[in-house]
Amino acid sequence: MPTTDTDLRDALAPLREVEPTPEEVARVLAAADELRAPRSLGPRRRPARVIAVLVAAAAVVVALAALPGSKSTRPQDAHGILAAAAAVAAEQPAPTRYRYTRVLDRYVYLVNAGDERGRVTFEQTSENWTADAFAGRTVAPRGTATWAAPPSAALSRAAGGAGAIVKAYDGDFRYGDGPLARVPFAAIPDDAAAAGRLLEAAIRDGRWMPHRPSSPPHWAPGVVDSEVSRSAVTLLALGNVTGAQRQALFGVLSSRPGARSLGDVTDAAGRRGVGVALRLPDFGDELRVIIDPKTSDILQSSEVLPAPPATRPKLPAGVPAPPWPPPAELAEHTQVFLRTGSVAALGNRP
Amino acid sequence: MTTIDHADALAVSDADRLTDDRVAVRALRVARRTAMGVLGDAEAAADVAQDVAITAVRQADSLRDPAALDAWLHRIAVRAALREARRAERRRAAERAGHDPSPGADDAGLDRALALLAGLPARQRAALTLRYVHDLPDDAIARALRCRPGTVRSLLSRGRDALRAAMQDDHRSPDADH
Repeated sequence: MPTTDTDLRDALAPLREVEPTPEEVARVLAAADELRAPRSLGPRRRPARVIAVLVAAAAVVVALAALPGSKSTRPQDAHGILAAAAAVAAEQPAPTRYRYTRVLDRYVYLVNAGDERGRVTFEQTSENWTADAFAGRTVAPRGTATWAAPPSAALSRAAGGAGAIVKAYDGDFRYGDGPLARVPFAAIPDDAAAAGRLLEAAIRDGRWMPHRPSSPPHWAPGVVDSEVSRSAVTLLALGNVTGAQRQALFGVLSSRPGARSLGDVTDAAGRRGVGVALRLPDFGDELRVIIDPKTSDILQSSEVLPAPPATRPKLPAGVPAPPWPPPAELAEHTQVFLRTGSVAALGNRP
Repeated sequence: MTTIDHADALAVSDADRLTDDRVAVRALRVARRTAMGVLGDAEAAADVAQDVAITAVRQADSLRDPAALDAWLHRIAVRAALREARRAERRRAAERAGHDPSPGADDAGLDRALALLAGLPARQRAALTLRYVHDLPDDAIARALRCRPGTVRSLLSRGRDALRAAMQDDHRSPDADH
């Protein structure tokens, strides 16, 4: 034995009793399958694996039952939260023609003017109706700007351009020009592994972008991985997709590496939910999602952006140097889904 | 080869027995215990363990020596836990604001064990966990932490002092239920 420090071993003994649950084991196997499918998913291994998992699960259940303080609770790890949401999503009623969402968008900007620093929050509430391929309508009255401290004239000027983000709007649904702009919702598979592969392939080759490029876009490292997570959340929140597709999309999120539980959380509207943070390896840090465990609805999603570098990045010769730090830099974008539902016609509300 | 003296240890000498489900169970067990010791947070440890286990299941085929499974699991689990500890440290202030406190481990004994480790540097916690939870010798801990055995001895020495001091405080505390 490497140690005789029995007092220390005894003190840390409870850590030795921590055992995986059968659900965790099953989720790991499913996620590993999804990530390596279809190349090495041999049908030959499946029956043996299923039996082995059941045997292992039964053994672990017995071990868990013997643990002090064991009790059945809602899953609190990220994969468990997402698996539970997937199961609830599968039970949701079929959607009708439009998905209705009432959304509070909140943008937090850090503003720089000379030596002055400010922080301003822009908020705007919109109503959205989305049909297939995010065709639909958005209606949004002018939003508000709230400063952390009264701004000087210079700070107000510096933030001026950013304020345009919450101007009044009534027109086509504002998905923008991202990789899901023309996604036919019916194309999203009901199977999580297939949905993940399709999202990744479509983002990589740009097939759903507004003007499909003749050659695949040159994505920077990490962008495709990040966009898969962002796209799955967007489809869950705003897409008029079926319960089975929602189940698959939660499965996609569950297989993303680095998902982290935020536990029980309260959204900006004061509603209780469970939170999961998804790693965004491109330039973002995390996509934080709050889910209603009863309905699987996305209550809120937030993307917290890292601060820009302290010094201006090197630019190629001849490129004009922008002001540094930027006059207004987005630090956080949050969407609070205040109300969601399915409606038969534009303008209807659930 | 790493010595494993727990009854639940896998017999990994037979390559045919290194099946996905056994790797998953073993990886979850090793990684969760390690991550709990390093992070002191049950949910974060569960997430790290899931990531490690998924990686382990996907890459176990590339292990030429199945007997090396545990040493490999310790290495990737420690690395993942230390990485998460660094990320958690960076995020701590922002994360606490606006979020409810994370629920405890739901087990008084486990809570107390985690409280004893709380406040120690992450690598010290990792070394203590590998020694007193996984019963690894110095050289195996050194491989997992990618440092020299001398560094491990130093980490353990300081960690032991801190742990014993915390245990004494725990005993002196009027709330200690013993």
